[in-house]
Amino acid sequence: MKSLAIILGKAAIVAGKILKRGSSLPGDIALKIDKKLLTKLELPELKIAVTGSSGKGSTSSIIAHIYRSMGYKVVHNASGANLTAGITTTLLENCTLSGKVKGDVFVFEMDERYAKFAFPDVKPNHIVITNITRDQPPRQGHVDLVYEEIKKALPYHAHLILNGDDPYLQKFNLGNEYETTYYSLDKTDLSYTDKKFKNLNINYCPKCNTKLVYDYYHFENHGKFNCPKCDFGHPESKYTITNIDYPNFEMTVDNKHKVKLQYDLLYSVYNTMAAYTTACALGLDETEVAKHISELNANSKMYNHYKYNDSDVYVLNNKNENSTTFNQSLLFTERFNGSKTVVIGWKEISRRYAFDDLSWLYDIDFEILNTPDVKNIICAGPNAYDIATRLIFAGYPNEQIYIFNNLTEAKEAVDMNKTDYIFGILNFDYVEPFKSTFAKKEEV
Amino acid sequence: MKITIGHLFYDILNLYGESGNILALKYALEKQGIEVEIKEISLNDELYLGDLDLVYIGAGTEANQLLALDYLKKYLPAISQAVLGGKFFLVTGNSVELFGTHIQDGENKVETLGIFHYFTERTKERKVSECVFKHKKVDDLILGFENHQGILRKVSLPMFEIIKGYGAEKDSGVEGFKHNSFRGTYLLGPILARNPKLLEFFVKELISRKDKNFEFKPFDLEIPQAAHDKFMDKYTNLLAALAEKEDKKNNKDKKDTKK
Repeated sequence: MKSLAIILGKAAIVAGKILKRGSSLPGDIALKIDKKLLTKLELPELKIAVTGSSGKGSTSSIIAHIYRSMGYKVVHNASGANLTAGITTTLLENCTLSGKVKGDVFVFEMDERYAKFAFPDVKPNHIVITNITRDQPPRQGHVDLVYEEIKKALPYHAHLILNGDDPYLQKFNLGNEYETTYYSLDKTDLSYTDKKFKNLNINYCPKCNTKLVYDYYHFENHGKFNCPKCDFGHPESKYTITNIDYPNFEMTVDNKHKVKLQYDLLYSVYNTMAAYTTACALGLDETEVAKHISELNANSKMYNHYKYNDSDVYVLNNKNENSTTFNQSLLFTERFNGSKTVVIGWKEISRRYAFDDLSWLYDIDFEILNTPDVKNIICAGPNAYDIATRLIFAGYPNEQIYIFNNLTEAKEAVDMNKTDYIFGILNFDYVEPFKSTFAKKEEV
Repeated sequence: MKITIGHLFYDILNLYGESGNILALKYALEKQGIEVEIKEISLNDELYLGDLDLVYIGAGTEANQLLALDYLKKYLPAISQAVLGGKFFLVTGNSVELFGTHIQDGENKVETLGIFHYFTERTKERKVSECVFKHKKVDDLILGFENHQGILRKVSLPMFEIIKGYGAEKDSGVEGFKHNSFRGTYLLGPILARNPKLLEFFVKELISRKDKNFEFKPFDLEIPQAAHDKFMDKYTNLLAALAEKEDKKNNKDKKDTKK
């Protein structure tokens, strides 16, 4: 069974290449023939899994890059096919006919809802759980269900790599049953002490249900927290980000290692740090690790920043039905002083579903825009009225809200109401249309 | 006039934008020139129902639902008295389960507040659906979303008639529960923000309780109404397309049987 599964799987890979179609189909075929195939392949000793709601792709890519740069042969599902079949396909592409995977380390991104199928068979020995956030809540059920599914899937002796700033993630190791390495971010100039975000996944101590107290926040429930009643609190971190220099796309770890970032946003900081922590905790040299990440991110630039009619434009890419991405963008607008126009919109709520629930709009703290700096908010696209409704209920002045069916119609309103800054807070399907509508003006 | 709204469990029963209901109520009341106070009350706070004109409770995870239940049990006599005495309650999502007699989850039975006679049966699959409901006293269709893992049995006084969705009990054709001024529904999230006519109806009731002769001003809900109507249009078209597809399939099936 095993050999047949491998042979047919490999044949499907070849066929896929001829037809120029990459997919998880080879893995699918092989698993149909032999359900337990993953337990029968001879995997590398070192198996690193990255799961969580977001950041899986970039974190696993950085880890793979580090190992590759240090001379290891890395097997990695770089295509982003992160369900069981996708992982199986990656392994088939890299194994001999007898099932020996040719590599020193297997790094894989794992869908958080499929970990329960693949982890028991692959048995990763190191697992990064980046975060568990509200993502497509109407369909995913809720965060606790995602948490429970991952928790059940964790192999007995796994080593966990977790963000110490997020109290929710500590739920994975409340009983201290896993060896866990934490990373965190020290207080920065952008840390704040008021709560700012209302709809969080965790507010209470997971041990004794007392309300958590924060010295400061970085974002949503991330920050320096402790339980006033029991011993629960921010864990001791093995690696700490001691400074972030966003203008230069750089962070400093433990006051000595400078590491380049891909984006000037907090999620990029945490993803990079998760990768750094994984590699260093597994024994790689810190200086080398910092160097290799920086090489990877050497060409980062303000891809999302340009000038349009004397205004500074920032294009912020978000994911619909995921309030966290929008909250991060809203927080980003606060870094700047001056008059602001904010454009919010998308083409489709979701490509995958026929029906469109909009509850998640109310999990986003649009109240942040309720400042004198924000002169106009332009709502664009098929849900422009829903966005405007949200803003009205946020207390934003009615007369400063503009509603348009699409970005082309919105252009005039933006051009007429010039401000120092223009922020496009957009779902990914509106990023390119936005950039072409508000393109740099040619010199006359 | 001042109206005080108690947002119970604002920080644990906050699954899908439930705070939108509070925002919408505040907006609509203030448009009527009424002073609004929102009291956020949760696990570590004391509950004084006497101060509140309306109690709102939203949906939460199963674990948080149980934490809320333990808290509410401490105040059971007061809550029971308030509900039966006609205080306004709006309870959305799975919190409606807490006011029945119990939740039956396989072998496991959780005693709930027992203020009403209905009870909950946990089901294996989650019921997830876009919903369209009708409310007798509201001159517009109600839209919303449901995502729950239970059905309500023995609901005697439903709130909505179902046009689309599962509702409290499959095939019963009704949803929600109403008694005096207590209203509960499995609908999730910001239902008042998304249904301006329902919002108006609630707010009018709230105000009239305090002043029968209150003269209502315009609510300024044109934009939320436009959002609602656009959504309904899209939804109606989709429903028509689905019906057509179904018709074609049935015709084809008939032909196949004839063969």
